Amino acid sequence: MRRFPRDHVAAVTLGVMAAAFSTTSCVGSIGDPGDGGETNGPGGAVQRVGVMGARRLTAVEYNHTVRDLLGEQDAQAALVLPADRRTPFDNDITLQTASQALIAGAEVLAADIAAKLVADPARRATVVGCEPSGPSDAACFESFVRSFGRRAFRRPMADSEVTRFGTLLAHAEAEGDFWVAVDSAIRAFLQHPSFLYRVEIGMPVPNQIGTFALGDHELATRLSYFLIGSTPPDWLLDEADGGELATDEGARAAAEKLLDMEEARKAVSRFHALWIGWEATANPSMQLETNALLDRTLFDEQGSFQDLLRADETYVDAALAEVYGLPPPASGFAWTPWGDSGRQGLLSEGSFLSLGAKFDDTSPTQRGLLVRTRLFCNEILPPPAGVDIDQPPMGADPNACKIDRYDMSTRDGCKGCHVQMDPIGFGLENYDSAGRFREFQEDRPDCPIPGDGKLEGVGTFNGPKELSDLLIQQPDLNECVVTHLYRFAMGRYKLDDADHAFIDHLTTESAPSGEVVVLNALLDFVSSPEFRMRREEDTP
Amino acid sequence: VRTLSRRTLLRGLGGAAIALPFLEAMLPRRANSATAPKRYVYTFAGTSIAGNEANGNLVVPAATGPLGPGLPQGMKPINDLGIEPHVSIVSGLLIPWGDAPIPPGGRRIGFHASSLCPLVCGTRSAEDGSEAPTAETSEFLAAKTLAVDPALQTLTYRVQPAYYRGSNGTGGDRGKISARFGPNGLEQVEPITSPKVAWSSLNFQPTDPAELEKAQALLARRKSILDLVADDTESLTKRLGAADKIRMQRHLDELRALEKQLEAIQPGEGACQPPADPGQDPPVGGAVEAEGGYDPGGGYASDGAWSNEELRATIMMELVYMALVCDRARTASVMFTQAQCFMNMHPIFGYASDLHEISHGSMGWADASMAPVADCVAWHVKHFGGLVKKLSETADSDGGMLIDNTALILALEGGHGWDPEQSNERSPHSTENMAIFIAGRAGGLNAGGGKHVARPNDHPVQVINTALHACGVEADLGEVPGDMMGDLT
Repeated sequence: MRRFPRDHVAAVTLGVMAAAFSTTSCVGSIGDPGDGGETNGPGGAVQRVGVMGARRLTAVEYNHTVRDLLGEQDAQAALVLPADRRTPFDNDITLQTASQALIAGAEVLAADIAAKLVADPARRATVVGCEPSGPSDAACFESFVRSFGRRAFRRPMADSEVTRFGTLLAHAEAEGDFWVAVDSAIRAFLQHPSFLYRVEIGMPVPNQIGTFALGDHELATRLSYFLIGSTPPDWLLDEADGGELATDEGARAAAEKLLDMEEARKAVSRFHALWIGWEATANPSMQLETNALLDRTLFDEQGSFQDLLRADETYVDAALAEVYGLPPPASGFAWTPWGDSGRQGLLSEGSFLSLGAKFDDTSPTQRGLLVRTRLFCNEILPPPAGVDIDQPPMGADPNACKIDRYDMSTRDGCKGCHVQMDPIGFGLENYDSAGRFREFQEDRPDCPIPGDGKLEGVGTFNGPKELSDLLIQQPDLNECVVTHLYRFAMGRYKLDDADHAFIDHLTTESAPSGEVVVLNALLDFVSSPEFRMRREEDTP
Repeated sequence: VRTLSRRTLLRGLGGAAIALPFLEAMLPRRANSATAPKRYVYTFAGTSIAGNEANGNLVVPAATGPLGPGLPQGMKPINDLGIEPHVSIVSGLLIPWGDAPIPPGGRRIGFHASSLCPLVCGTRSAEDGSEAPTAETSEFLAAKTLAVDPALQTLTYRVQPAYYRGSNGTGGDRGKISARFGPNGLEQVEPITSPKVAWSSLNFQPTDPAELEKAQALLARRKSILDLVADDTESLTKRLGAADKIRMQRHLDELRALEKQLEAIQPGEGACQPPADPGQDPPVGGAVEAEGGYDPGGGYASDGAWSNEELRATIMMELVYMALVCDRARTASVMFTQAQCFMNMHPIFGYASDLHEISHGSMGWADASMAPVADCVAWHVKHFGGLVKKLSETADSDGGMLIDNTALILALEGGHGWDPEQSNERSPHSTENMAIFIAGRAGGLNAGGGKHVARPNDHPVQVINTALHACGVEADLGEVPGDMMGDLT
């Protein structure tokens, strides 16, 4: 794993503006950092340990896991299991509740996956790992249970567990077919709580009631699902078996190997798609374009989130180039300079500009809300009672141009919140919800779009390039990036003082030169003592 | 309130002598041909009855009285199916509103999803803005009387699998209409949205002897696998911290419930014929915002924001029907569409818009918005009515028909009229002039045939109470006392 030293990261001028993001009645930061200063001394890590419980695999994690365990390429977890609610992430433990729908869905999925496996001689031979001599070959079945069980449970199976699974061989004997037992075992594994949940128990930390140090296999599991979105590879389980993950260095070395895997790039891409929000809205070409930017900037160039905002070229095919008004590449997808198009970086791409559409058009309010909540971790209070957000703003004249109808940022009772959002959106208004440039409001040549925007308390801008330049200069951006990364890693949206103390600590560690290098943040996070512990949840 | 429920009457007498309710579960299952069990089905439509600025609606008949031919557009499927004798509509209903305090059985002033709670559990919506039910919902209240046997499921299905807006997730609380009391208090119940899972979880057994033998072997295997998993879950639970223990105990409870259901499985007989395996689920559609993309394959006209709810509804209602016939379940809820429904109506009616936007005039403003909204209501009535019709044609164990022992509700999210949020007189963001369908003949319901009953400013939950009481449920739902038995029997 390559990694730039921290001082290699280009320093930027941090034009801290005192008035930036001043708290208003409707905007605030997610939470106070707590008494982080007291947690930096000896034993401080313990005071920064986050709460963690038994997290259920999300549908995406489930699909990845059975792909890696069984070679199953087409598991339908997203269709069959109850959908994972977004916060914006899909893994919030506080929203995971067992239900009849979950139990029934898990059984259906397990049955489908097991049936497909045993019907595929090559794949089942690989998974089972021995050639059965007959329906009652107990040795082969036990060997399979023990080896597959270690991978499915992400820890060695207890002998008592192996014995219980061994009883399933009776089905093979009854039906005269060894593979009936394999089918039964796969069904049982995939419905088992040690598979469906990432159970962490650990060992109590002395003199720290409610804090536990993770076991090696629990740590391997936490590392793997965070960094590659799937079950630990065999080599990682081997390292856990050998106790190699117990130190900062060991965990860091394992993390570097995980980050070298192709799946890590996909996991980082998915984190961004959930965080910023284009998972459900961007079309495949736009996602490919954005993933190329993430890959190149964060992995190949080991850059920062700010580097995503300052990219001067993009990866497009002819159709996307036409949308952006760029010259088409000679063939397929190719890196193409933004040139003097007024665009720059991630915020110019269709993935971002397709977000926040409403009323069959862009919504300056929604775009502004997105920037506030996702890039600055501000919380904007919901509209008060009496505000109908399902009707397009009418202003004083419903036939007026859109910019005049959206008068909420100047109207008493509305402006406290809307001044934080709408002027951001109007600075992007020259770009429709496909990312195409427009000079006039659709079907209204009498309504030119000036495209002038304002980041309240920071400065003015016009278009995504100038907005990006303003954002790059904001120091709060670093902490927000780390905050979202932490939420995703811990599977919790709501954070407490210990979480904020750790986020502060990690932000400082990962951005000594002013910008959080994403790979550095990932490595610093997973090799920290805090990552190897958990704090007991409060009961509801 | 014109009719006092028995509970209300007992309260009035001082509550000193509470009669024990008659429990269907006290009877042996499917054994007593003289007394067939009662069944209760609650369904929900995420729509109001007319659109913005409309002058009236095309759902409620102009006159009260018996339902006959020529029903309005929103009720036309009742004519098409010929089920007028079994379905009534009650109109003019009202859910009160307010903020701090919200009145009993009422809703917040903000419209969207605020009527959901009172409509499913009879209690006022939460003042903190939460959209979840704040009390037990009607099908779980009914189950306490009708489905005490642990082998009986309470079905909770949702036809519209995704919200189709924003992250295109589940819709959160807008996609849930079920809640029950568990060991740790009130808990929401996740609906099954997959027809494949719904079919599988009913554990139908084939009637062909050769197929039955194989199915029985598989059933035995499933039981032993489930037993292993449940036992291991129980062992694991003991080793966990308090919060995880609660989490895993709920998982275990659901596993044990499935075990009990499997133990009670009997081969089908008579009308209980296993429906065909529906196969893989239709793909889940994307978010409506994707319409704005440059991709010509996206958008309403290309049937985005659609997961073939037509097929999903058909399968799920068939499964509800067969679950009642086969006595797998006696209580059920089906959420056809989510509150503030963004399902694309183009594949059904050719309207390149979603249900919510249609109610706000996307297919035409003022009176023109009545017809598309009525079509959307009619789509729900069609699927609701399809179940009613099948129940009316299927013999029950007591020699009558299933419909004679069943009560069914179709609740609509909104009415039409005053919107306190926008001070608008003619808005779909209103809980004035609400209408609710009540079908079936349990307890003498619709004894004289279906009718249109106007009950100005009464609460829609009184209609739900009527269905519950008709099934032998003593209690009223939530905070709304009384029923309309006198009008609907």
